[in-house]
Amino acid sequence: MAAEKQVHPSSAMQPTPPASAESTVHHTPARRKRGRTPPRIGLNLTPLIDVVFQLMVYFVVTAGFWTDEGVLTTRMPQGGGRPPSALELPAQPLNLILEPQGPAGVRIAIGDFDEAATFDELARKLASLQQDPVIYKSDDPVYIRPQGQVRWQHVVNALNAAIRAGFTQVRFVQPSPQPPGQ
Amino acid sequence: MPPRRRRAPVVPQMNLTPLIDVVMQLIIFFMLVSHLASEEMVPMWVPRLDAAQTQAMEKSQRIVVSVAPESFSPQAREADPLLFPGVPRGVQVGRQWFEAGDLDGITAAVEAARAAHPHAQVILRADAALHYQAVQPIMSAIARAGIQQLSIAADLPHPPHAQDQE
Repeated sequence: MAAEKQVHPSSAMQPTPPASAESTVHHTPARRKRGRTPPRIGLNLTPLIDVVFQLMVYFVVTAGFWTDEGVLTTRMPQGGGRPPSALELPAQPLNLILEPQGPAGVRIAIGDFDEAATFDELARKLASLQQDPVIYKSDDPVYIRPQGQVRWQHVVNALNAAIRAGFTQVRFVQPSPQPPGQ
Repeated sequence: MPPRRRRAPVVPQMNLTPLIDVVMQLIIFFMLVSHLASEEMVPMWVPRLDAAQTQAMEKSQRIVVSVAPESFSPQAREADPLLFPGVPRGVQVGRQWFEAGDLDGITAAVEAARAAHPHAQVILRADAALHYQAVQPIMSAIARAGIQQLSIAADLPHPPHAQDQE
């Protein structure tokens, strides 16, 4: 066994109890030690196994089963969730409409004028809306309007894309009822 | 017992006692650890983002609101985490458990936690597969507690594989 060879000589030379069951149970008389049978050298593996198990526990615990989580910081509306008055309604809201597609997919619409196939594309299109012809400014409000059946990951992904494009005022809108036929 | 004249054939035996001791320790350890881990962070599949802009989470001062999915095994959801029931099992605020419909209770719990830690970061953890209509009322309930800044938990990408596919 490889483990036996790596044991330090000093520990191997320690007096170890003989291997047979009866002599470990009973005390060996002194004259027996002088007998002709040479003491058999055994290796006590118990502490090795103990330490290996401890190491195993340590690495299992430190490996960790959870992926790291981060956060996207948002600002909540004030006023207890009441709808804002018409006077407060901003002039140029940008709507991001999310509709469920298939069992877990999503269809992304930017206002009523554009669509994006992926959230990567959405972020690029949102960024381009602020450049060259400046259609939207970065502090224009962006409304994320998901339908009720849209998976949470897509909603957070839309928020992430808007933040990535530099928009600072991103809001969630209450779920719109699902239109019939979808 | 008199010493034997002949050596009996050696029967190799293994002392199982320390092994059993250690295994018992392991069992107890994992029972405790799994209990501790589930206290605040409900196991769930947080959203995975394209080019995530997430920042590291505060470790000390935080109020975690978890919208928990139905129980699952990570291996079963590995292929497509979003193919999973979109209805939550319940909501946990800190270490308190609420039914998903108990919005007033959630509001009160967040208010109480906020009163105890005025500068704590409020974190909304929701499973990636939950429907928006299940999570949005929880957000409204948190807003009613007077919270103005809400942090939404998502996957924090590691540098080597930053562009995770959706």
